[in-house]
Amino acid sequence: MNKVELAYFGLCSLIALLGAVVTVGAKNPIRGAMGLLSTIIGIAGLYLMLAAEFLAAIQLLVYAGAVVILFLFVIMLLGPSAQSKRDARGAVARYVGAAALLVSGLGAMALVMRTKSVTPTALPAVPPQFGTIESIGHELFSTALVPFELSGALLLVAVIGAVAVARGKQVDPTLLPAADAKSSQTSAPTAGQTKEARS
Amino acid sequence: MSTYVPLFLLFIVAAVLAGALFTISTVLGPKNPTPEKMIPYECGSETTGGRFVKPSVKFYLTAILFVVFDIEAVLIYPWTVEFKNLGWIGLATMGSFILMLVVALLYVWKKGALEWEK
Repeated sequence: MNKVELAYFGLCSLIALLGAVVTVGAKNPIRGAMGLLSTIIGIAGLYLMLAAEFLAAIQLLVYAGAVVILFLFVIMLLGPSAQSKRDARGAVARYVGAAALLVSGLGAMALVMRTKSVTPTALPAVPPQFGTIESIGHELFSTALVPFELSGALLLVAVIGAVAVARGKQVDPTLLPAADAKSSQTSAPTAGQTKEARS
Repeated sequence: MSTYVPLFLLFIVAAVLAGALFTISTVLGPKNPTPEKMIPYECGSETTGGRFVKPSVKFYLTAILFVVFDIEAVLIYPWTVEFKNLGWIGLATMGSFILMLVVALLYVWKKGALEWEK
C-alpha cells in the first residue's frame, strides 16, 4: 500500500465513520439519513479500492440513490413525530455503555495483536478481470445460480409486502391527497391511526 | 484504480468550486437583515399552516416499488454483458427470473398500486 492509497483509504474510512457517528447520534432524523448517505459513499470508495468496481457503482446507484431516498420518504411521512424528544433519562447508561464498548473493542484488538505475531502481508494482486461486470455475470450464472433465483423470489415477496403494508385490504379514503391536506395540521400520522381508519 | 484518477479530480474540482462559491458569497455579499426580510418567504403571500405537510403514503409505495424494480434491473445488467458466453442456460435462468418479475408486476398492476387516483 503506497502513500496515495493509504491516504485514499484513510479518507474513505473517515467519511464512512463520521457518517456512522452522525447516523446514530443525530437528533434530527433527516441529518441521520444524510449521515447514512455519507457512510454509504465512504464504503463505495472502499469497494473501489478492493477492485470491486461494479459493486461500488451499484452501491452508489441503489443505496445512495434509492434506499436513502426511501428512508427520507418514511421520515417525511412520520413528520414531526419522527424527531426523538430530548430526554436525560438513561443518558448515563448510554454513555457508560458506549465507553464500555469502546474499551472492550480496543482491549480485544490489543489482545489479538499481542497473542498472534501479526506481520502485515500484502494481499495478492487480483487478476485483471476481477470485479468487472463480465466476471460478475459469469459468477452469477455459474456458481451463484440458486441464490440468484432466490433473490428473484425475495424481490417478489418484497413487492407483495410493500403493497400489503401501504394499501391494506381496501382503498382507504383517508389516504387520499385531499384528506391528507385537511388532516395534516391536526396531528401527525401514527400506525394506530391509519389502522383505525382502515377498519 | 488509477483509471479513476480523473473522476476523483472531477469530484475535487466540484467540491472546491461549490465551497468557494459559498464562501465568496458569504464573505463578499452585503448583509442588511430586517425583520421583514427574515420571515419565511412563500410566493409573496402570508405563510399558513404548520412546517410539516404530511405527504401521501403513495409516495412511499412508489419509492419502494422503484427500489425493487431497480434491483432487478441491476441483476439483469451483468447477464446482458455476458449474454453470448452464458448461452441457453443463462437465457433459461434469466427467463425464470424475469417470470417472477412479471408476476410481481402483474400483482402490482392488478392491485392498482400503479394508479395514483385510486
